[in-house]
Amino acid sequence: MASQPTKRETSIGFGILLVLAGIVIGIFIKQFHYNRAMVEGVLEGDTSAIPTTGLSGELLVEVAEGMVPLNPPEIFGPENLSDKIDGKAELYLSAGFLRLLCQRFAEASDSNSWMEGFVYDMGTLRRAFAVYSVQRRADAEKIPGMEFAYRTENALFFVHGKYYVEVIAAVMTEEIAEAMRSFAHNFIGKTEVQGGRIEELALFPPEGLDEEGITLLISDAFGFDRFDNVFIANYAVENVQLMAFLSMRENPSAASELAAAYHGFLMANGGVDVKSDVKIPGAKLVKILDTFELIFSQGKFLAGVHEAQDRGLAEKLAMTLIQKLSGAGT
Amino acid sequence: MSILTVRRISQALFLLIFLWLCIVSSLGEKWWQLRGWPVNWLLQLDPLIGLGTVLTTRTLYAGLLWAMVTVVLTVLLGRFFCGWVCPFGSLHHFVGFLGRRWKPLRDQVAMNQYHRAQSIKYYLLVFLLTVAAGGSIAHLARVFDDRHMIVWILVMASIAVIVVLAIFKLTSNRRKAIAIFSLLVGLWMGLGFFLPLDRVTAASLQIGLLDPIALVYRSMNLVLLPVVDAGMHKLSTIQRYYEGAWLIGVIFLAAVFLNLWIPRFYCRFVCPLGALLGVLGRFALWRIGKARDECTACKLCDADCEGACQPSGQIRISECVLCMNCRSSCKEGLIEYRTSLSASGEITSPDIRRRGFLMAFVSGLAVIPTLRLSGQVGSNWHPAIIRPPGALPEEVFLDRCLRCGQCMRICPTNIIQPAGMEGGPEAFWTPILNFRIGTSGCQVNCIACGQICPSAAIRPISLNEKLGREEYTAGGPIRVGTAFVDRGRCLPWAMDKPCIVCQENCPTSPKAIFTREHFNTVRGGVLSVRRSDTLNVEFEGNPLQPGQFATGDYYCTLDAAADNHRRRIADNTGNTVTIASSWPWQTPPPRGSSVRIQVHLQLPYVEPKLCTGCGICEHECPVRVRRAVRVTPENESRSRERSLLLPMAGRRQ
Amino acid sequence: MNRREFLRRAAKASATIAATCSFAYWLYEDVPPGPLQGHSPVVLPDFSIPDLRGRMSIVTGRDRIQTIRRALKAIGGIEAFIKGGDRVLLKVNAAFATPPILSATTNPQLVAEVARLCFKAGASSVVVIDNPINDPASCFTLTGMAEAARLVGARVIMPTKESFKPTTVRGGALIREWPLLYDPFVGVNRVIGIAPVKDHHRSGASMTMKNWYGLLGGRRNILHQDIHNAIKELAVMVSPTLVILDGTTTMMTNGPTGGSLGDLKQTNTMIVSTDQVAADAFGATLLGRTVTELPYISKAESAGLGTADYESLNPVRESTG
Repeated sequence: MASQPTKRETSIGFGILLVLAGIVIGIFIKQFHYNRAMVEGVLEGDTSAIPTTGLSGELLVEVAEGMVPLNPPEIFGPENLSDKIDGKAELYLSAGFLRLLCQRFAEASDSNSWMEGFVYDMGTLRRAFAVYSVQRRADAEKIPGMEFAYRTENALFFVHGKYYVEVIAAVMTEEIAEAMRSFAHNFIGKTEVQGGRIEELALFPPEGLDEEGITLLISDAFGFDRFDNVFIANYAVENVQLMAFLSMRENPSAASELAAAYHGFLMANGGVDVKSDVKIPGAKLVKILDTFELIFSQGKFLAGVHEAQDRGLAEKLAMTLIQKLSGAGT
Repeated sequence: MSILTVRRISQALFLLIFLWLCIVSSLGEKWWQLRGWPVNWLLQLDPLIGLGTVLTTRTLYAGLLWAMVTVVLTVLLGRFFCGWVCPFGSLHHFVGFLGRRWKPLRDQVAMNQYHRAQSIKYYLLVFLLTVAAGGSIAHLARVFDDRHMIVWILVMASIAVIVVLAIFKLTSNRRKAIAIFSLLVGLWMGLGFFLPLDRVTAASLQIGLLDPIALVYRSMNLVLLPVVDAGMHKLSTIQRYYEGAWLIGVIFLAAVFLNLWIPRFYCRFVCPLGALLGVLGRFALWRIGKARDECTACKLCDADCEGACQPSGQIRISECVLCMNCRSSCKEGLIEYRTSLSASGEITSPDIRRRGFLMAFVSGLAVIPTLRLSGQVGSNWHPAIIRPPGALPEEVFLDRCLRCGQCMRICPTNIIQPAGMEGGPEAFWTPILNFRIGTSGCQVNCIACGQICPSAAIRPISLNEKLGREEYTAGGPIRVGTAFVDRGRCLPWAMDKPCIVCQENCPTSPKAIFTREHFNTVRGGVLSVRRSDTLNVEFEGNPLQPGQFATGDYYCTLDAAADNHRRRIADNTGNTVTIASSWPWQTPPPRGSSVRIQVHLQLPYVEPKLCTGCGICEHECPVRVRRAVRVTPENESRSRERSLLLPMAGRRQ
Repeated sequence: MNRREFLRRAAKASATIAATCSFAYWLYEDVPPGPLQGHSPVVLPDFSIPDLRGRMSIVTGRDRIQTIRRALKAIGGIEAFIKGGDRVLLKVNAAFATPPILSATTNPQLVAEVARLCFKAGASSVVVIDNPINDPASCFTLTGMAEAARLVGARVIMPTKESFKPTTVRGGALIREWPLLYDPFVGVNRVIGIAPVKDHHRSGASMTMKNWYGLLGGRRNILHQDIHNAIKELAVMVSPTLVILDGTTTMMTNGPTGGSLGDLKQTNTMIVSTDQVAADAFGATLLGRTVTELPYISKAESAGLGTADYESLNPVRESTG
């Protein structure tokens, strides 16, 4: 037996132990550096859950209390909405439609006097407002006490939070009208919605404005695919009909960039630049197909006047618009 | 401090490191979970894995570069890896030590005697490397197609020269050996000019079957840890199951127990890595040997020799594992680890015969093409071979898979399983997905298997690529197969039982499983009315089980009435059915009229464009044994042959 | 002694280390392998002759050999298209192992005559190719193609697994990284497609554009799920020098295999054109169909591959009687 380990052997031994210690330390340090995403992705909850929208089949029966249901409640999703409303589905789908709940009810006393309620869950107040405002009928009659609502001879249309509701009657009697009103009233009472405001509505200058006529075009406004979330409002300026438009973008540079893009879109479609006297920096006036289009951006808002017959009046409207916007806090 | 102590510390440390790396291979961020622990490090240090993948893929992939450390140190020092690092070796060393320590000296010497059978591991090495090399040899023959490869041919030629020089030493009859070997290689390359060699040669990486590091990882991950953890569930939150683990366990135990017969049995007779390191260590600068040729032949050194390399006589350098036992056993202090050759002489070359070498070589070339005749990599694809997401196309996959079991260990839902004979012997122990075992299907947001695979047989895909998002939108998500509804077994299809578990659990958005409504009249569901009102209808006798229709899935219709819309049944007794109060009948059904009770079924359908084959539906299906919805590898992204649809149709619209 | 031996060993050890390290460095690859292996997709070059575009001739007559000679002369002669030293590829329809009288495949005499004319114009080689649906050897034999080619010195090339390379059609959605019978095209500079006029159950008709289907490998039958777009992409894939549409015997029904002589009608017309869309548009009339019944024609026209209004090319009309 080699008696005692030599000094050489011991020092080599220690050298090796040092290397081993280095390996351990190296491994320990390595474990701090890792790809978080790989680990988190699996651990974090159930990403496959599809959110339910809170519309239950029994809701309408409760809302239409006192009336007799004529069919079971129907529920439609994006994939089969067209089974119910055919081509109109496109409008709702492009606005982010989630669910439709509908059912028919008749008066207890007279089964021929019936109506159908449609509750569209659009996901957000803005989207509900969009489909509401775009479909506003010409013979709309304002309903006192409700913000976004109107009635026609045989129907009732309103927005409540993220829901857009239509109640359409088969007959035009006072009783059914009363039943529709009570339906609307009960619906609002029985559904809790998040509060919310649509800020852009207050940004249109009130002089000459048709307040009930403000419409939100959720996408493809004026045929331009980048134009989304555009509000349009009808004005009567010196008895001439004008349409103003306004869209809130993320930030001022996004607004001016979109304004330039829209201008480019108009030019590409046969528009011609026209010199404008309007005192708005960066404003563009374009003559296209016998009408004038005025575009400008102010802070994070993109705005202008659409298809105006008279350029002077368009410029005048634009000035009132920009004054309102400047005051609005850019 | 004795070098023996250092060696033991080193062995213990690497064994502990290995154990720890296996334990932490569990997805998570805690210190005892995966985090950044370099769990593949020991595999990466293994030069046999490096060499095998170089032969099959002609690249040295990423972390496998660590093997160069082992190679360089082995060339300088000898088989230190076997004696100081290899955890499998340490295990054998320890069990072998236990087995021999109480035996008399004579028996110990006999146990640690050199056996001619120790050359088997060299034949195994040649065989496994040839199995891997077939494709590269064919590639060599195609060299002139591709201009860059002129360099390749020069290098290969010089490698061939080196190999020839090695054989120079390996056999007795040099010239004949050179001639025959050169002839073989030349013949093969020549054939390549005339025949399409791609058809004749095929290669895949089979070293993982016998490589000790891959084997010990596999055994630890798939057998030892799950068994130990069975009661405690500390190492993993779930009980882990592995199909066919019994065989892996048997092999492991056999290898361990054989040490009681002959110590380090596996290292001496089977280990191809040991063989490779033995060949690499031929020119080692430091080697064990006698300082003086004055031995008293006490055989004490032989008794403790771990490598069975005969330190008492002409020491066999290629078998020496640097355990240093002989150095301390020798009472005369004759044995040293030094730069000079042993005074009693050395045998540097392993004792392999030309015949054995040729047999191993030729059978290695023949194996894979023969196995491929079964068509299992092509048209005769077995339906159970579903590869994990990110797996490379099959032939390349088989070129890279080490069968180390790391992917099986890390999979959070335990669905990656070692294949049995489904894919034939070539795919033995490669990872396949089994959605019945385990806790769920392939999780949507998990990319663990690709990230952990040391050889990128499963590519390290990003989450975006797996889900088909952002820059990967055009190709759509990665699919591993498609679910097929077995209408003969599915509850709503075949048994009138409402069920939409598969559709509910389908994680894609929109769901790949959709349903179509269907109403079936239940058995014995046409009944005659005895009494009724607007909400209730009573039948003759007591034909019903109370509450049987109260689940909300049953409806009744009046056959002949004007109002024949279905009404949902709210409840029933033995003879009365009550419909939901939200929609009563206008007029109660007349006496004697017939009422039909129907069950509302939602029949599942699969849309192949959207199905990724994640298997969650198969896992959740309540038909437990042979599931009513099963995933098979049709339409998997990585293969054109198993595509179901036109390429465009596979993309998300 | 010791020293020398040690140095020798040290040298060998260093050599081994150097060799293995440089090998490892050369082969080191830290980028993981991509999803689909293989070469980048090939694209066939444009074989059309720019100055000779928009030419078409329609010759009626009972004898194919006469009509093809006249038709080629009418568009400027084969010499205008084939010059000395050109390497010509004839893409024929040999999809089925059927005899020539069933007219499910290109007529072998026609192929032989075209090859002969090419050689006469000075072509250095003429190859005949197709990737048949049935077994290649029996297809080329039973259709008479093999013998006809051999007689004039043209070479039939049988497709093998190695002959295919993945191709992606420019702007294509279907033919992406699809195996294409590419090898025979290497070194070729003139391509002539020769197809019979046939009814086709799935696409309505099989004429010069559908003829290129026979260049695809893999599981090409799934392209039938979107056949009209597939045919349009085939026309994008191949821009031939010439197409020859043999309407001497048209398969009016039960295409593409036919089977009965009653499926055939003697329409006795040979069409040669540099515009494959125009050729097919005219061929449709022989089948008694309109262009609207064959959507792939308008799709190809919209893709800018030719015109369906063949009259606008002022085709030369002749008759050999």
